[in-house]
Amino acid sequence: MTSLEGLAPAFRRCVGELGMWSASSLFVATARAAGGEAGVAALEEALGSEFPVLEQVALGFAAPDVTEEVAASCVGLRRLVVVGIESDCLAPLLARLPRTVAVALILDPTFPVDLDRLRAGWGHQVELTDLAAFQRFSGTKSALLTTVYGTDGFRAAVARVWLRCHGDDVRSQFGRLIGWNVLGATMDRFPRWLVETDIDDFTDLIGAP
Amino acid sequence: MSSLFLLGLFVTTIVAQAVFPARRLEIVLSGAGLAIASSALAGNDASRILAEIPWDVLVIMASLGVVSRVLGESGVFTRLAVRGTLLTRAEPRWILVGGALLMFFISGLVNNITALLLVLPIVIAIFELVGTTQRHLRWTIGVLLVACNLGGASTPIGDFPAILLLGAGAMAFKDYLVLAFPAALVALVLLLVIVQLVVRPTRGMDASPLRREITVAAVEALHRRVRLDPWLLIPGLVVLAAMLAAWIVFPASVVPPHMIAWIGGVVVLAATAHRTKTALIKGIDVEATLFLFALFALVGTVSASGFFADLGDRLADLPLPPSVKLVILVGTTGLATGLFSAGPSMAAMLEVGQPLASSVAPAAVYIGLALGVCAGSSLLLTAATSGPLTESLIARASLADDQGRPVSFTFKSFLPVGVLSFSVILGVGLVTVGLIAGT
Repeated sequence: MTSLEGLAPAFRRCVGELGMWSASSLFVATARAAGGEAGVAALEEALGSEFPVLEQVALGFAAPDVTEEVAASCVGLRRLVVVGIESDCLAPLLARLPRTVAVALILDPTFPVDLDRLRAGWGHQVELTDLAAFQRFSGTKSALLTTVYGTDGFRAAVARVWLRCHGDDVRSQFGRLIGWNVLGATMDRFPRWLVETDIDDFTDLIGAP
Repeated sequence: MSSLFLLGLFVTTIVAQAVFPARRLEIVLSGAGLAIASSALAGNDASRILAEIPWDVLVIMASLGVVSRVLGESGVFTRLAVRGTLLTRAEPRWILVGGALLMFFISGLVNNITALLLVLPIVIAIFELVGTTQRHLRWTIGVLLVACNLGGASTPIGDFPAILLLGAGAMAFKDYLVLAFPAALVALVLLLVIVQLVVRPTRGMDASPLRREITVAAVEALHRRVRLDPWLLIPGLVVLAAMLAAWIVFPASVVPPHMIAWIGGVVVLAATAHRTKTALIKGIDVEATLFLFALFALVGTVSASGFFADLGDRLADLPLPPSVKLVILVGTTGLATGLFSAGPSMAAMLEVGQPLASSVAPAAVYIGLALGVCAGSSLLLTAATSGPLTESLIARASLADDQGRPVSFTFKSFLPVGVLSFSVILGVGLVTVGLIAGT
């Protein structure tokens, strides 16, 4: 009735194109709607051990919606580089940003992505860039933004690609480095697929408990 | 001697391009160049051979390529495929039926490659989400490919063989549509019934309701932001509809089909230039156009030697009833297409079939040829361009079944689908030809 064996590769693709938190929220919400708590339990059983963010979402961990605060922190920006996609965050943020703000996106290469589909969906609002080119968006009125998957006030779980973007040189090239916490408190499990970083990486950490 | 050399060159080139499909353009271009050069050395006028290339067919194909591209970029095929997923609720059995019908109707209007490139990624995402097995993958993807071939044969603009008939003035647009569309649709329905009731590709699959709901939600989410672009969709649809109406209303002797295609292509480019500057470059499939150009030149040189006409006369003179000669022609066309692909087979067999068209209803010969080519295109994975493309797209997706075993779509795995499809399409084609010839 609720066999979800072999779903992990499909989940990884959804993570690549929607984001870890957005894909987890989608899968958990659908499982709950279709199969109630038994459905969520089956999903957790199938994917929870491999994807701790999904497990946290299934357990009800979530930060309050801080889209307005994130949008407020972007006031005055001319360029915004989003590091790692989270479609449920990016879409409402884009709706609140002035059209004059140029938005670029660096994908996390950890997960598979259909670039054509991604371009068809986001291409009219977001420019896809990469680690070799994102610094052309730098400037005092520029910001780097990434999603944070839980923090304890000292460390924060982020996508692996953040560590490859962030460094002393980059810190001086961008006006702001914004962290957007979507998961509330830190995970009590090893953050597989993610890495931990110091919260001092960020000039603004929004949604921290 | 010269005609024997040309024939040898023709056969060698056609076999080589079938054996090395990745190098088919270079092979056919080289073959055509050698054929023209040897023909010129034998005292023939090379410019006459080039002048006899059916440029009108190339114009129709190029214009339809542009319209296909504009419609593809509008997002309409993606939205249709997502809508289809929602309608079938990701039930594997209905994905096969719905996908086949969708590909059939799309391929009737735009070229197979455009349709496949836009719909296959969605099918692959569904397979990843809902799960698949080797059996399910083989039959679902195989039937989708065959549905593309049938859709292409169902209208005069769906694929090269029918366009060749339209461009050559062999059949009027409406006449072809009235005869070929029902036959192709019957063949598809028959194939789907056999596959669903006898083969049962979903046997052994366990797609739970929960998993199907997750699949539907995920496919919707992955494509949520792919929106219809009305500035591409409306001009594309309006121009395509106008071209179809013009082809139906105006006789080819009054307004040649390639003129309608030419005007349509220019209008759609002008109307969409502000949205997609690269439509012209992307829309015209340079490789396909060059391939057909070289093919026509190659066939033209052999044709100038009188070989095809002679073969056609021999077939027409066989002491057999016309119906048996038709069966030989259609069956040979199907097998030749399976082995050597659609382009060379149709170009050559059209000439062979011409003498027979004087003793039986010409429509029976031409529809028989088109359906024979369609059957042959569906026999082997290498017979149509869409086959190797699909193979590589599936390989790139690295699909696995629920136990983690890799599943693949290869020449060998397609073979059972191909043999069944070839038999069904050829059978329906022969019955159709018999009915046309009998009336």
